[in-house]
Amino acid sequence: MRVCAVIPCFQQELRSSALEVLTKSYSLAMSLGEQSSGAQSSGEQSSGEKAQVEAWLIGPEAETHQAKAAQYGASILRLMNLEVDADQGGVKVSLGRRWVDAIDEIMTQSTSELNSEGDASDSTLLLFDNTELTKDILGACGARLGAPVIADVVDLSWDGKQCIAQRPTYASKVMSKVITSGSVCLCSIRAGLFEPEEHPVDATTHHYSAPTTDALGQVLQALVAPEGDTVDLTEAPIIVGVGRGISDETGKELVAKLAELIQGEIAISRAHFESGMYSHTLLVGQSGKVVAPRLYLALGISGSIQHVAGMSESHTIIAINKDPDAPIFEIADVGIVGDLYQILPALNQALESKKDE
Amino acid sequence: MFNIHDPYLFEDELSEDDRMIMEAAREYCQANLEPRALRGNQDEHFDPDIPKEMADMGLLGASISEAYGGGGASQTAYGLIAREVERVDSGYRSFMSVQSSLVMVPIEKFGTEDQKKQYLPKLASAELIGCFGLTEPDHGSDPSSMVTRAVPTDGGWILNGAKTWITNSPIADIAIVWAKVKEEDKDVIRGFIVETAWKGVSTPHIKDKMSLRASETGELVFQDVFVPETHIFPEIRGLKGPFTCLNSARYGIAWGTVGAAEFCYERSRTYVGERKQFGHPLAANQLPQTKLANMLTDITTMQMLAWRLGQLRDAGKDDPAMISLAKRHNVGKALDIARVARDMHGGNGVTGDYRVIHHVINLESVNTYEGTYDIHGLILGREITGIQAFVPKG
Amino acid sequence: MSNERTILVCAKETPDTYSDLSFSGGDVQFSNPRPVLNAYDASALEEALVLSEAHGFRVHVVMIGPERAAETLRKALAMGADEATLLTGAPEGADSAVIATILSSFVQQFGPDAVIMGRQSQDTDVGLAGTMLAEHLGWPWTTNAIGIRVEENMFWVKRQGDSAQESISSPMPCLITCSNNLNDPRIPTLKGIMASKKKPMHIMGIDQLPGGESLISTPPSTVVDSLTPMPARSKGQVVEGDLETLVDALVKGLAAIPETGVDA
Repeated sequence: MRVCAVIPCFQQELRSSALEVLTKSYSLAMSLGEQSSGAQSSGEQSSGEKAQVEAWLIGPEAETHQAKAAQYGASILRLMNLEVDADQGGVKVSLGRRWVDAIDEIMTQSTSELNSEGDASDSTLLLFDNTELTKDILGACGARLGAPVIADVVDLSWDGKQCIAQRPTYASKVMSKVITSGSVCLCSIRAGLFEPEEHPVDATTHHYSAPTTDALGQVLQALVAPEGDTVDLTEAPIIVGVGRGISDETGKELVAKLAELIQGEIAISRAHFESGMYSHTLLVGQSGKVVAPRLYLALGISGSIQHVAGMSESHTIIAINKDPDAPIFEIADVGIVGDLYQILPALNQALESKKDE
Repeated sequence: MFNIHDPYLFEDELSEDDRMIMEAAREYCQANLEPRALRGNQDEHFDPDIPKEMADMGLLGASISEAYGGGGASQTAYGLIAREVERVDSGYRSFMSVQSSLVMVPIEKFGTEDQKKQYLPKLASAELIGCFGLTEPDHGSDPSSMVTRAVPTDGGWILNGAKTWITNSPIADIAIVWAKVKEEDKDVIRGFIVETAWKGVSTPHIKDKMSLRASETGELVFQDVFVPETHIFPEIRGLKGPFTCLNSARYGIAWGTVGAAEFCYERSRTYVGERKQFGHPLAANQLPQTKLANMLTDITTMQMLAWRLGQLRDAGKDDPAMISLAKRHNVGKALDIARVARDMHGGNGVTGDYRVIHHVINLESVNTYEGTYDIHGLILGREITGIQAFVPKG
Repeated sequence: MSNERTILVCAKETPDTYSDLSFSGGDVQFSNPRPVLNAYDASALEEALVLSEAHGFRVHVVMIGPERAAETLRKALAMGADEATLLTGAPEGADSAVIATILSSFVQQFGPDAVIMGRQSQDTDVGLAGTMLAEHLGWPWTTNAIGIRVEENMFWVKRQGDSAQESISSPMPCLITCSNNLNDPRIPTLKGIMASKKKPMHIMGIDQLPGGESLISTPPSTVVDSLTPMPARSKGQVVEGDLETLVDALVKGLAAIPETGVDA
């Protein structure tokens, strides 16, 4: 049995969501039976079939992340470089179709290798993180591989035959238990829910060359990268969410100062999607990014169903709103009723004076 | 399953057209009118963009013939639109009712082909705003005593007099004016289409009203106004003219107040569910529960009356007394519900933010205009006993 | 007419998930008993209508659902679509893969110049059917569109990626899935509603499509076993008072999270 973490490798740093996928892959493999190689066996005998943790490192930085993947428990590393269609401001992107071809190729090649080694595995689970990149290809991958897919899961178990997943539905108000079975299954897992854990192993590495992709005439013409550092909200431990309650440049400056003081990244609710005050990439909610940071500080966010669906898994929520009946207070661990334009200057000053102490 | 917004599931019984119109009107009103209603009421401001928006949605003259730019929708659909608009504010519904029922209906019913062609499409598109002049400073419930008078002159009429409590008058381009003329030595009431830009017409705004603040109200003053012969309704004579319009508008009110009551009920339900006192939501107490039960029971009767009345009007089987019954009952109940809702909101109920107080004070007007609660009682009394009691016998 | 270019919008009817939700015997009920047009598909339709106004595309909407979904589909006609098809008789518990297979059969028979659809449905939030369909068709796809234009016989789509917006051009035919941040879908007007009665609405059994028998008999590969209420976050403390009280509570709250670097 194979548990394969599919890891996009476009940046020097590995995303923490990739580490989470590796960690979850490792724990699923452990629950299936004895880890196959590398790590010292604890001596306990397991009767289960051996499960391999594989990391499929795909992208120009595949080589870079080998060690990290092994450190997080992957004993088989499958590496493939991928043609980059656009590279701008440190952001690299490949067309979705290249991804599907790449995954299909690794699947085909590795299966035939295992078969020829007489080590045929009867079942394979492919795990993805839940980024926009994954959302762009997951359905197509499932269709290409003829495999069932479960998207955006918050927990799952797998016994080599059946995959049982928990996934939020109805704007994250309901948990649905979804079951599938197949020799190959695909799952994407929501970020921020599995604490990355190191499980160093000795890994074997396999290299694959990227297949030739027919882009079907499609061209990635340009990237518009947000100014400054490329923020990845799903990775941020502290998020400062900005809603309708912040309405002008003064407010924006107060928020920026506060974010700096508490080392937070700024996110926006839909109220600011069209205001032009912030980049569109910062949208959190059902139609934007789904985040689960250590702290979500909601500033002037009323707490619409759509926004809450994107942040309700945050570990701690602190909210400031002048409306005592704002729905956000129903889910906030600490709710502060008051005017942001009075509170933020005082708060920033208090935090600054603490720093100076 | 018991639906706490539509207990007897009348919305399921609507035709697909009517239900779709209801849902579109609800979407528009909640998305575009509700956000303006707070400031509209607090600042006494009618947003001048609203008529065009309503026109683009097809909400002005919904039941007027498509040949004249109307919607060609059913009477039930017109009522359902009134319900959605008044769920937000009686002032907005008043604007819509006046334009549709009191201006477009008489032109369609009593106007000449030229009058219809000249005015109806522009009223439907809100290029023109209309108002309706019947009530006078000294003649409210007794319109037959009106003093506004038109006398014949070369090529038309000379109009003198004054009308008051005229919704839309300060922003109106035309007014449907009911005035007395002498025919064979007898005073007869006839209807005129008067353009407010004409010499001698003024439309002063009525300031400092404490109700219907989100819509415009004013007077109509006529000083030797020349009205060309082309602008009189040729056939209609007597109070039947204005009462035909009023029946249509009153029918809309019977529906509209369902919306206002539903809003107050829904806000109260939410409020007592969220507001905690003595460690429990207010909703956990018996008094709030039975208040909500009373509200929903009354709302259900209001829904049933309005819905059935719509069916009767669509079938052409309605009678003015049926409309009186529904207008009187539904406005009365809506006002009761709004007052109880205000009370259930405690101190918060007196602030504009919760919007319940706006409905209370709006419905005070709605209870009075288009035939007061008591006058409709007398209309029903006359039907029941066969004896009119409008004119005191003392 | 025959050489008129067509955009096919794939739409779904969903429960009104923004109304109040309650559980009854393991089943979810919403306070609005009437289904709605999936908000993401409404954005897709809005965009198709805007493109149609600019470039003269014919807009056809297809929906898989029971016969009563015709009313929701009629809303699409009322918004301005030219024609609609309701595909009835989908297998019980059809998942994204089953839906994509059915749509693929329809699209191949229909032959539009583009398919535009929501990136996910507002009830399940799965978001797989679009790219599954593109893969079945062998078409280029672009997901999570926040801007679409047509130039030189190509669709130019701005998609919201993880850390940048990507501008991607695709020849026709292609498939695009839309974010609901793309636009504000128009509300049907009364005239649109009245006119929708006269527009063609085809109701067709899925078994009538090419490969129909297998389309209705293939069991879904993923099965929703159960639905349970999400454990609600408990309401924490709500602090009201003077500025000093509020700021103290905030500093205390921030200091409880080590990552903020705020000292207790």
